[in-house]
Amino acid sequence: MPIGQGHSAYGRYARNRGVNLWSFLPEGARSVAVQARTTDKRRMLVTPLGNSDMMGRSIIEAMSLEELASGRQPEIARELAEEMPKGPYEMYDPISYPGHKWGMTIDVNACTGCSACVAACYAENNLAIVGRERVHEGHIMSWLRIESFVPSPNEDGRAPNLYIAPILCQHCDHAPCEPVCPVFASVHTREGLNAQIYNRCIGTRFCENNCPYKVRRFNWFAPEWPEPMNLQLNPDVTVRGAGVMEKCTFCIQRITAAEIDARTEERELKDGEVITACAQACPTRAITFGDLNDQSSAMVKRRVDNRGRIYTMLPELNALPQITYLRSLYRTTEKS
Amino acid sequence: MAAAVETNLHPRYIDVDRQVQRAMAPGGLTYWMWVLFCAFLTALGIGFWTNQVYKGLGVTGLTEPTMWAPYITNFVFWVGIAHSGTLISAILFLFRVRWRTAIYRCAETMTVFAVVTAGLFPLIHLGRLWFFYFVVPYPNERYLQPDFRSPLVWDFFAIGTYLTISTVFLLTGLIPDCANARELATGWRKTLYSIFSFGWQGTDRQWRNFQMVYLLLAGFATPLVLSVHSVVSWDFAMTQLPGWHSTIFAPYFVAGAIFSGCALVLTLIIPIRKFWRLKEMVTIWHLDNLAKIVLLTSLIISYSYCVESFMVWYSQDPLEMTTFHQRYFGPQGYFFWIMVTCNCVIPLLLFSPRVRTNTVWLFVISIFVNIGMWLERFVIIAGSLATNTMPSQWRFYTPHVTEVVITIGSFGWFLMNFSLFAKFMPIVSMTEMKEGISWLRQAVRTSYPYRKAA
Amino acid sequence: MAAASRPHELPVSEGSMSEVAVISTFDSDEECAQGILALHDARIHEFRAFYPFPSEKIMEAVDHVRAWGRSPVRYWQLFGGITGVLTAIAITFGTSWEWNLIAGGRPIISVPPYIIIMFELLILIGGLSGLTGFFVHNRMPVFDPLPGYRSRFSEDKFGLVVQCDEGAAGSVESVLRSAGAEDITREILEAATDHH
Repeated sequence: MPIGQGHSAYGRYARNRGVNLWSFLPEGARSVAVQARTTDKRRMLVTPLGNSDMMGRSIIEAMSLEELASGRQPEIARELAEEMPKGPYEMYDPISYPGHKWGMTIDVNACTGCSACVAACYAENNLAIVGRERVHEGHIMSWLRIESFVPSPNEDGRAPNLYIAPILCQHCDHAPCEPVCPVFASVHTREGLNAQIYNRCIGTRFCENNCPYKVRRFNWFAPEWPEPMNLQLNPDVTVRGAGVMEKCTFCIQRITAAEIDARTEERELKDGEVITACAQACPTRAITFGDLNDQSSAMVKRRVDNRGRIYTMLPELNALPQITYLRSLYRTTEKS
Repeated sequence: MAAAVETNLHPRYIDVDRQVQRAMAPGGLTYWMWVLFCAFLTALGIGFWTNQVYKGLGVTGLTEPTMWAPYITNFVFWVGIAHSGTLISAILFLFRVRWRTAIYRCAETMTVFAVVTAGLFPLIHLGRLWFFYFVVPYPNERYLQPDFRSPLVWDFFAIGTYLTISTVFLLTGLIPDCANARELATGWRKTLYSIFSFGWQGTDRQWRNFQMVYLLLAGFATPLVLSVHSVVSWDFAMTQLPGWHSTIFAPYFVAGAIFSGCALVLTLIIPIRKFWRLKEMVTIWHLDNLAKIVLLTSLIISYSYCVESFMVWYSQDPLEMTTFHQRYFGPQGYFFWIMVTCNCVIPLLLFSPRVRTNTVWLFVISIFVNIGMWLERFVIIAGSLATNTMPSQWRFYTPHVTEVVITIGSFGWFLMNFSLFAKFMPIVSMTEMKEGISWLRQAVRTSYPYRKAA
Repeated sequence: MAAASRPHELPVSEGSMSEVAVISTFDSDEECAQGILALHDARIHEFRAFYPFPSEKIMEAVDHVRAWGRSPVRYWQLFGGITGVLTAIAITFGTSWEWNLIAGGRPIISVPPYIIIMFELLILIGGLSGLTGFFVHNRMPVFDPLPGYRSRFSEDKFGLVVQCDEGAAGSVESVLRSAGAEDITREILEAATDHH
């Protein structure tokens, strides 16, 4: 049962939201017997999740400890390697990013699904909170979501109990969302970020259609922040209006602030100076953000140290995402 | 047996004028009730659109990930309809196909108003439609220009060009006809036709220049038929979405466009020739030929469906196979099977000459064809988006009131404009009918063997 | 156009004779064509033909007696089309070069989509130029109608109009009548009009 709701000590805004299950337990006890009966009340169960079957796609991958120890790639990676062309496959001259090139490494094994990163992203980037009914309709505004997939029956024993990972904008080098925007609202910065220019967006929504990871969100209505939510808006981040697409920006406000500081102080940016809200909030430090061009950054080190576990999502689409995931690990169980 | 063919084998030039003039006579109660009904539907559509602009696109059923469903379906549907009008009036002109003369004005009118209707939908579906002009490359101080890599910018140029050239083509062809109508009319109508005929008098020099410009415009409009709908299809084919990312889209969509457009020409012209008594000019033979084109393009579409399925299966690409499996057997699979029935099975009836020469059958079949073609675009657009590369973001589209009313309103808008034009402008080209009179006598007698001799 | 070559066999006499327009009406295009050939045989080359639809027979007859050449509208369309392509090249290459944004890892100046824009502007500007040429060469919109025009020439009758002096009108009338004109009238013209 989910816990964490029904607060009584945080003032008027936290009251009457959910029920505190711990209050059912007698003093000092770890469990209590309860009797459940059905009532006439009906409550819609709302989830933003569509299909929980990954269908063999390379979205969240896992490998067994044995495979990691022996250095063998898991089956999904081997199948994909057979399909992909050997060697570099580029139709166009690669674009060089001489300055910083921001990227992320996410360790799926360390992710517990606590969603602190999601809450941090909402708080940092002035995301609109749309309410239960609109989430049910599919209007959720989360830039970062904790994806969960159930292993298919044929993966029995060779998969973790649940695939969980945070999925956010991958800031692809070959971003499919960029060339389809008619007005250059979705462009690539010279630092490797996929930027969304809110003022330019006219809301054709072509970018989301072409995003293979479906990380973009559209403002179906003008967002509202009823009291007291308007008090927690981040003044560094703009508020988007109705009809505009938005998505994860790698906390560009933090990147820019740090770069301005570095420039005024006439020094280089140090690794760890820029940290995105999600990386900052993660209790297990599953998310690491850093500069790809800086070989000594923590993010690059994480990739290098975990070379056997790295993968990117949906590589067959050749979007070249800048977020590298580290595979989740499981222990193979023999099912009779 | 088919209705007795009321073909006058010895028409005079003045007969043509009289019949078309009769069609342009002031409309009766039924006509104006019909126009008012269409205007009412249009007003409803405009009302709901205004509400949508005011409140935001959330009033529709569009959500993540089906960000395009009803409006883009309508857009592609109406552009497709427009293309067969240009095929009939321009391409068949270049091939000197004779049976085009009686129906091409109606088809060309349908084209112009269909493109106008189609052009509304990119505006309707925009999140911030008041900034639509960002797509136009206009000089400005901030060097803001559209991205020419985007298929939507190609759309803007293609649809803009198509609308302009179709309108120019229609109005140019109307010039001698309006001169004709000007002579037959009185009062404010005479002024109207004088304006649209630009003082045409039919001198030798005028006719020669006219023939040259008409030929050249027909020649320029011909590649537009192929290119504009290809560009529209590339809105989808240039993405990576399984179900959209397919090289077959350009010819597939063009064939579908001709298919649905010719069916709509049938839907429009059968009532016109019945209620305005144009049966002598728009004969069963013309409808028969149109029906043959409908049948041919239906077979092409059926073949395209088979090829598409085969390519998906042959590629064994898991993303594509899943999308198509969902398209055929998923929760919204019934749309696909209704579409197949309407597009592939029902038009097979047109193999029978009895069906092809029966106006009731033709009317009914043409309505089914258009239902099927609308569903085809819907299945491709909304269906592929619903079952995309990220399974956790699968969500099937359900329409809300707003889009249903706007769709119906668009039909009302089209029919209202078409009806008004058809009443006030010659819906059959008097000039070309007269040009073809001697040939018509001969053709009807010899190339219509299964009609009982009159 | 007409001022350059004007073989004019009818006597032109200054003086008190006014110019008339002999207006003949024909019932069919064959007869009108015969009328044109008859006028040619009678060494009358200046005439104006009105017809309600582009009749091949009449046009052949006119070709026989007068070398029109092909309509110059096609040059307007050609140069308009070329202008369209060049405009498209200027807009696309120019804006991409000026505002060099990276989108999707593609080159800044990506040529394949520009071809589509070039094609569309070729058609658009070519078509509009052709239309403009059509209006220019036809001197449309026409505010002063040409003398001799009758409304039935836009309905079901074919007209042949010859402008000549009053004295010569009689011979013109007889030529036309023998060619099969069903109706011949004269109209006195106030001022000298440009032969068309």
